Amino acid sequence: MIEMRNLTKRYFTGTPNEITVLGGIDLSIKAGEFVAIVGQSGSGKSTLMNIIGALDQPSGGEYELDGTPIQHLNRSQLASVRNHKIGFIFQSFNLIPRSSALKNVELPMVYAGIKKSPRSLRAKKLLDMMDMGERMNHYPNELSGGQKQRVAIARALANDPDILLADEPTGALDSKTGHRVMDIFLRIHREEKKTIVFITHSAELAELCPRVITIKDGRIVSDEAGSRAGGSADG
Amino acid sequence: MVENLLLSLESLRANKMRSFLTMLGIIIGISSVIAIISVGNALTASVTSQFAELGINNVTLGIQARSDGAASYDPNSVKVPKDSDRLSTAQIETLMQKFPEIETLSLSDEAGRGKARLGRKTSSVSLTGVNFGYAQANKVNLVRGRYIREADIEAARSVVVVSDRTAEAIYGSIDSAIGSRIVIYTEKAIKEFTVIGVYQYVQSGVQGVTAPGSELETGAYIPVSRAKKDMPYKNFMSLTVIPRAGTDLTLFTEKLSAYLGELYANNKEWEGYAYNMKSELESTNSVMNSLSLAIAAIAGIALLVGGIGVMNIMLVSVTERTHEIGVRKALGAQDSHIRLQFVAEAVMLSVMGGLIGIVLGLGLGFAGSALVGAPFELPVYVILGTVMFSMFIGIFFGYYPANKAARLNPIDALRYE
Repeated sequence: MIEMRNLTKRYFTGTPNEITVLGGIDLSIKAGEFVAIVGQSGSGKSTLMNIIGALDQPSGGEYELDGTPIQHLNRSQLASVRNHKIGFIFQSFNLIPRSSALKNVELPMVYAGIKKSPRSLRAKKLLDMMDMGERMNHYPNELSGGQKQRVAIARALANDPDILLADEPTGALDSKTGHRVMDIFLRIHREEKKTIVFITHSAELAELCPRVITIKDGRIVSDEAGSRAGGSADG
Repeated sequence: MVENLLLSLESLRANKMRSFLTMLGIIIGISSVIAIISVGNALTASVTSQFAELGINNVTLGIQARSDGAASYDPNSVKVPKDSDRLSTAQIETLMQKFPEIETLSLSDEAGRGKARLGRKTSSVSLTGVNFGYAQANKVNLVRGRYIREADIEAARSVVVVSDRTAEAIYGSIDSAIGSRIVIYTEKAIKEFTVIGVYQYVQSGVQGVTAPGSELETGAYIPVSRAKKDMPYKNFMSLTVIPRAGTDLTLFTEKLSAYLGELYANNKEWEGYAYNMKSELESTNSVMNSLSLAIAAIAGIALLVGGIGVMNIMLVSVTERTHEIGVRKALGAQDSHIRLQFVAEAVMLSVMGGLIGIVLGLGLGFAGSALVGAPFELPVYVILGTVMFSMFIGIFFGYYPANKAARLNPIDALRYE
């Protein structure tokens, strides 16, 4: 699903201030894997995530997503990749403030050109799945952090993407709510067979993942199975 | 598209005050355009209808004193043309034969003002000698009896067509007037006539203006030949020509003018003229149009400023919502989606401003028309044009900010706080 070879990301290339954020990443993630990426802030894990998600372009190396070389796509094709193949979940939820939960979930489908009635139907189904059906007409400022993140997960699933990319999805939540959100990811992985790439600070949550990749100073320093893989966040 | 418009409504509602202030420029511009154009139209329409009452398609022929040469104006001796200087019946007949464009012509001569009387009942009249064409040229609307015929003129019969007002004042009803005898007293003579017809008197802004308290004076028409019997001059100083429909009035008037010029070429004191109201109206209209245009241009500048206001606020809006744009791009929005969203917002702003401006402008136009005493005209094409124009302002001034938003780099926009 994800193939990276000697991927680099540099800023201010060719100037004395040149910064290397990613210094040659070789990474292969197969379809249906649940991968946690851990590392300290500034380690480059978010940059890696943005490149995986076709939001950012690498400075060098190769990246293939589902067989498509991403670095050769134009703006429009990249938008299409983000729309159809990837579902983003952010630490700060990033819901559109003036739109209801339902409209937020519908948004990726609007961009995919799906007609109103099937779009609305699917959005309701996804919100029901996240136990948010009753609050679908609420606006983001009327929802708690955990509820917002569940709406955001429903939105990420809207166009049935191959990959879910979650950037510290529990970072803004208390630990109990965070665990509940983690359980949702585990369930989606189990039931929907999605490929999930999950960035976290929390060693505790990372241990629940079947595969844990640790990044330091822009390089992968370890790639192993989580010690409590297969368990539940609450358990 | 509907999606985008609803979305833009939401974001405008989120900033009510700001949206309103932005719209204000458009509102002022559009309302002044609408007000100016509707008042201008009302004025033009009222002037046109006044001219039409006077017979806009008619051509007036006549003679006037030559004003060229050394002859100085002496107010003590207003020149009166001799009978030989005037247009004779024979000359008029020749004219009719020469110009097939003439449908009919109207001859009239004032035969004095006075009172029609029967017993003790009276009614003020102005006696006018007319020919058959007069009724058509002056839109005399007969309601009873008949109008003056060729035979009446040939025989110089003592018959009269009076107004319904006169008939009612003297006979009590218009029906009993027909065939009755009537005595008309003028400054010069007392004459007896037989009433053959009654026409409907129409009060207009041009004729029939009476001082308050004084009796209404209406016209009483008698055969022109009958009127001439009591007058020193048998020939005519002026007459009105009614051309056939479809005649080129300007050309026709020029031809008549040339013909009369030739006819009076050897007359030292008098010259002929031909005159048409339409050319007069056109020049009046063109003055009013250019005035409207000048004021509309100023209103257009107001609109331009309003448009720049829209652009400014859209730029602020794009900067404010950079992060949101990043989120939308992360969810797969194409550049075109973002562009459309912001253009829709700008169009919404300016069209809403435009609609409010139209309502306001119509109100102002209505008040303005009432103030100048002209009938209010609802210029539908102007309203449509204004809506289109405000939409155009939205697209034109919204495009640059929208494009700026669309071209944002997704990751930079997303990181923007």
